[in-house]
Amino acid sequence: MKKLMLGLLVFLSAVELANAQTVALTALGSLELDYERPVAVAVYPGQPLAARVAFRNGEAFIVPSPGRVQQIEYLVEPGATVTEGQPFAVLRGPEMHHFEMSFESNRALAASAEQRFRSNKPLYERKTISESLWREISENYYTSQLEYEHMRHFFELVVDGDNDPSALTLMAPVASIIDYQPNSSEVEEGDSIALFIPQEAIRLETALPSTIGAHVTALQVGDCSLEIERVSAMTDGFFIQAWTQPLPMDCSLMLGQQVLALPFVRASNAYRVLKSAVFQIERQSYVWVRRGDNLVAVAVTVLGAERDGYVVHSEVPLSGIDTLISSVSAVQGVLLGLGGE
Amino acid sequence: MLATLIRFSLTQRVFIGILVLAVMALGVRAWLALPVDAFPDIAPTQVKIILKAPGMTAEEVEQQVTQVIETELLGIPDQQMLRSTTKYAITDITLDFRDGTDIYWARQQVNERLAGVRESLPDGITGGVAPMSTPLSEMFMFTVENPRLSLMERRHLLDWEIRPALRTVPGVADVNVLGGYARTFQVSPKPAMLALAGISMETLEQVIRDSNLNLGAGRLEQGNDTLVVRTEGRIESLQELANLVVKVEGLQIYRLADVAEVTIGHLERYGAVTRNGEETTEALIIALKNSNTGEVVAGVKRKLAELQPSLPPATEINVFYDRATLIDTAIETISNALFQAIAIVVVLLALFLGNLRAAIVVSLSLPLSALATFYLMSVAGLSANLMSLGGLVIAIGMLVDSSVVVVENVVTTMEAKRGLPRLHLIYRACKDVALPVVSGTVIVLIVFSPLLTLTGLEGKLFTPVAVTIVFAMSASLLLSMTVVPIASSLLLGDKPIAAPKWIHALQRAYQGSLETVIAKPLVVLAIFAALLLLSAVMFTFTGKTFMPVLDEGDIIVQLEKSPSISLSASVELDSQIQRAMLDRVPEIRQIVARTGSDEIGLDPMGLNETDIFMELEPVSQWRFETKEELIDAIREVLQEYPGVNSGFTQPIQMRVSEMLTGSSGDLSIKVFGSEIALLAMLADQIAAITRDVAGSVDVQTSSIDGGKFLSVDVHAEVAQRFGLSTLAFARYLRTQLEGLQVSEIIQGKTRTPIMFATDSDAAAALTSVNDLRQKVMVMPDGRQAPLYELADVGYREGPLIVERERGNRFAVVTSNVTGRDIVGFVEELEATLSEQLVLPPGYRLEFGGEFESQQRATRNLLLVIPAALLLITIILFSTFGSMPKAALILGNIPFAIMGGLIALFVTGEYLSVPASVGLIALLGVAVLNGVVMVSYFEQTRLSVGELHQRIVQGSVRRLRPVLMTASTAMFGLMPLAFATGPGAEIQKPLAIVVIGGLLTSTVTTLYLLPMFYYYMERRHHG
Repeated sequence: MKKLMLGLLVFLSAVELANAQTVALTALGSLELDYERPVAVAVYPGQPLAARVAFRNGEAFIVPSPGRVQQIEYLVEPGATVTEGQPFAVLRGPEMHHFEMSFESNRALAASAEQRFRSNKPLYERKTISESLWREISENYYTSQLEYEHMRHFFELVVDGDNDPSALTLMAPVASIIDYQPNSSEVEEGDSIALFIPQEAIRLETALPSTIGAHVTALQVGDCSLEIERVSAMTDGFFIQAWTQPLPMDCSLMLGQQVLALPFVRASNAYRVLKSAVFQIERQSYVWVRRGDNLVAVAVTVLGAERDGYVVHSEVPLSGIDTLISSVSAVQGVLLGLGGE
Repeated sequence: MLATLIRFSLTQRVFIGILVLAVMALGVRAWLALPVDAFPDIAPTQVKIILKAPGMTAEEVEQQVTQVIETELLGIPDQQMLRSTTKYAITDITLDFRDGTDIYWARQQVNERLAGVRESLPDGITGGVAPMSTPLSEMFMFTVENPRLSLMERRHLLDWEIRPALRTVPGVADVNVLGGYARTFQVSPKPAMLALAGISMETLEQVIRDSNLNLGAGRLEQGNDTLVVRTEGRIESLQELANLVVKVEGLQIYRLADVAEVTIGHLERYGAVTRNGEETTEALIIALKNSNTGEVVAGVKRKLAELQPSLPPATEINVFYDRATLIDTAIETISNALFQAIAIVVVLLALFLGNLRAAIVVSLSLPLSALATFYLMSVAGLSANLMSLGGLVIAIGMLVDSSVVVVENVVTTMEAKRGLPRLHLIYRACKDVALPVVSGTVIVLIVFSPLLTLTGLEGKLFTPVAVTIVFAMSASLLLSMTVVPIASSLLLGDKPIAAPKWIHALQRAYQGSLETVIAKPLVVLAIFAALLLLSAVMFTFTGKTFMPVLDEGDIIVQLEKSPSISLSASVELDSQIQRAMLDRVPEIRQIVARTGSDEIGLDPMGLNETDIFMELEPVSQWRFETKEELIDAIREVLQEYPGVNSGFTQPIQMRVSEMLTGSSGDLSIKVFGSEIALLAMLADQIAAITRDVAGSVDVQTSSIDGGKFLSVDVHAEVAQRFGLSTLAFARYLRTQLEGLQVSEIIQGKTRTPIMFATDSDAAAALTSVNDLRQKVMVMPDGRQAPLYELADVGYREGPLIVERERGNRFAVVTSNVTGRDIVGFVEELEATLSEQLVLPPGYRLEFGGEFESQQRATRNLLLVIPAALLLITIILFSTFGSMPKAALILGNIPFAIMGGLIALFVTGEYLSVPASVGLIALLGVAVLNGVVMVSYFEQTRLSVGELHQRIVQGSVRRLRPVLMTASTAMFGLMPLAFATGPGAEIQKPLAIVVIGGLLTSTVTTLYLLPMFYYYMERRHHG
């Protein structure tokens, strides 16, 4: 019996509510009724996320060490902007002399191998020498060339005119931001002496919650708004990796900096309304819009919040329509049957 | 014995004089020292438990806290009522004990039981037994105004400067601070930063707790000295807190400011205070039970005056409620009535006795009786209030009765028997009337004895009246047997005092008319029978109510808005209404409104509830004649604000109603049952039916149903992978919403909590359901996850309020009744409800409020008054030795009551408890007059043989004392009947009833009684 009455009550309430979501303006007495017209928006702000100023793999220049280096004196700090050709480090130690010797010997070996290659090539074309011998000559030639070029490229970055045989001064290959590990004790052959990240490669990296990942259009850090350029197609647990477009110069963010970024999520049929306009009945949010001499409750979904406003989704177009922003709870009270004595 | 007392007094005049002086001195001292209040202490022995359960819904609090405690409390002996109100995050349990239960014993019992169940309550429950106050303890309220200070600074001033100072005032139980922002040191963790630094919330909390400590390490003995060694880590400023090291990793030091915003914040607000539409801060002084209200208020004012110079410049303490004002005006009203009554009685005595000296002798009993009464009041622990002083005013006319009879007889005797020694004559005269005087007074005392049996509110209100009357009448009786004979011997001259000429003329006229009546009794009988019938008809048309409403001088409007309203929206709406009221009703001087709950939780209102206090301009500046018209004007304004329920009350009235029923309003209709939704529906139906009954105003149903909660259900299988328990989850969410206290900073006498909280303006603040779902959380292992991956967020519905009485849930509908009597209203409503409302099985209705008290008072009086009448009959029988004569005197009673009822009807007053007290008083006066008359007939039985002559002469001889006693009683009450100040409302019906009754009973005493006596005696003697 009780359950039946309870069910009846819920049913009656729902029916009553459905029929009664219009309130005549004349029934609102002296309530202060202020209106504002919602503005259509394309995005809404989500919850702040952690982001990092970084660069994508492959977008930085790496200066590898041609051999083991005992001592490196960096002339600029990590993160500093360097111009092309600007000395950035001095490699010191007896092995520097060996580098030069190695470079000279490579050059000599490469020249010799080239000479041999060129002289034997006609012989091979005339089938004067065997296939296996030619293969050996060729391999020797290309290997020595590669080794030489490798050294040559390194030595292209060495500043000329350094008379100290135990020191090599290196210069930046491109205008960029330099990065290196300042505390590494020794650098082995092939290790990176420094990374050179071009300004146009610096961007924000973030992990977006997977549900909104595909819909985030931009990240905002301070006054700096950055469009999302690339979103991973794979999730990493609950998040999707995303990259923004490169940072403009005026963003004043440092490489490696951890920041809180506000994601902006794409939305359709979204409008910006004041927080004071939104009320709730029976699990549904509404705003009061003026239609003629009535206020009509229009269902909305709150997508996100700004300082004093919400971005709401509404199936009913709200642009340019007067929406109640004061005494909203009193009108809600009218709907609930309060007052009226 | 009486003769001995009179003889002793006349022979030991100096000794008696010294005794009188001593009594006067004690009386004056008692008057100056008597506690002064508007009302007697009407509160029962009541113990209140207030517990706060942050974050818990009403239903959860009910199940996990209220029920647990109630079950434990139900075992306490001597309890009368166990009531509770449970809302979001708070429960308020009230236990009323039987009258006379020692409050300290009761509190100890409750404390013990509470301590016993403490461990079974959920974690985080704070609070306990509320201050030892009563519902009437809110006696002084003020706001702190200073345009140079922010709301937070004003609140800080109240919390840490004003409140501690006021708590030192004797009699102050607590100072409830409301409104503004309570300052905190707010730590808003940045989840992303915490994750990057690998710091969990738990670690952060632990670091703050463990760092903010001063610990003793022991003593170091150095040579001959001992040095105390301490480890000091207490944080003393915001900067220190910001710089707190939370993690060290290699060379990287993470300070609190690196992973959190460290700012000045404020505690979550559960209420706000507005003054004339602008937010402000308020303090409310709560007095201890049984404290002297007048002294406490005076002490508070003195303390505030002392504090004023030390407060920041431009700080204004704006007092908007001062109980002392009501006390002063009420006491002034009743004191004026008292002094006017004394003056009138003295003039009447002089007129009747025709001799100033004789009048002075009689009048002496007035101040002396009053002073003796004050002394006895102080001994009995009564305070001087509307009711006790009202009792004295009621008694004024009767106080002189004994003396009048004595002096009148002395004067008559001295005139008749000249030549005998003066003292002998006085002794003879006094002795002759001693017995009727004593029996008459005893009869009056017996008549008032039923008032001592009243229980509940009416008992607390009218017991002081009865006790004061008993004290005053007893004192006057003693004086009439001691001081009056002495004063007669000293002040009455040797010359015979002849009755004034107008008395003689009156006696002649009376004699003629009496002879006519005796000769032709049928006409008079017919007239009185018709009047008796008329009064019976009038009685049926006279409204019945419990108590006239005391005009406290202030008005409170109670507002109820949409149940889910936010504090800011609620305040905005209140401000709108306040501005309109100030604009449209110039009689309102200022408005102070309290929205939501107070700090202590004595009045745990929801955010949708507001009590609007109105301080009014002096009545002389009003556009209206009555307060009712003013209320109608305010109601008109309120009706222009739809969507808001409103009701009118007054500060004391509101608390008395809440004390009686747990809700305010003249009438409360409670529907008991188990399902909240069904209770809510039934309450709505009852409210609708009540609104249709004529006379109902301010019909309100508290919104008990329709609470919407966001339910966050943790996915344990996911959360546990990160080591995230439900508790940790809940604590994390609390830091994002309500805030979580982790420690406190002590700066001098100020203690400021360190809260994990999020600034509501911050981008990370949660201001929508979607925000909550998207919130990125930091796991205990430092990793992050969005909330929607860890939990489901959904809506759940539940009760907003759960109200219980003796463990049963109920919903209440309250209504004020205007323009008609409450009993008639309830009868009609009961009939309508029984026709139109179908109650499911297990559901029942109960009517409460003032109606309940009225019904109880009626039941009590109907039980006790017959017993009193029986006692009177016995006394009369033993006095006259004849049942018919006793019945003859008792026969005067219906005619006395007839006059009272006619007077009530004519003046438009309702039959209330005070009016009933008036009717009871009439019993005494009517019987007393009859005794005076019949006793004389009996005394002259031997001296005057002829029956007709004996009766006519006896009646004429008794005309003067009968008229004197009647007119002094009647005119003595005139000031009370015509008084208009606050406090007059309660005693007015009583005065009107007595005046009306005295008029008719005097006429019947003078005409019907001799007539009936004549015919009875004639038949008896054949």
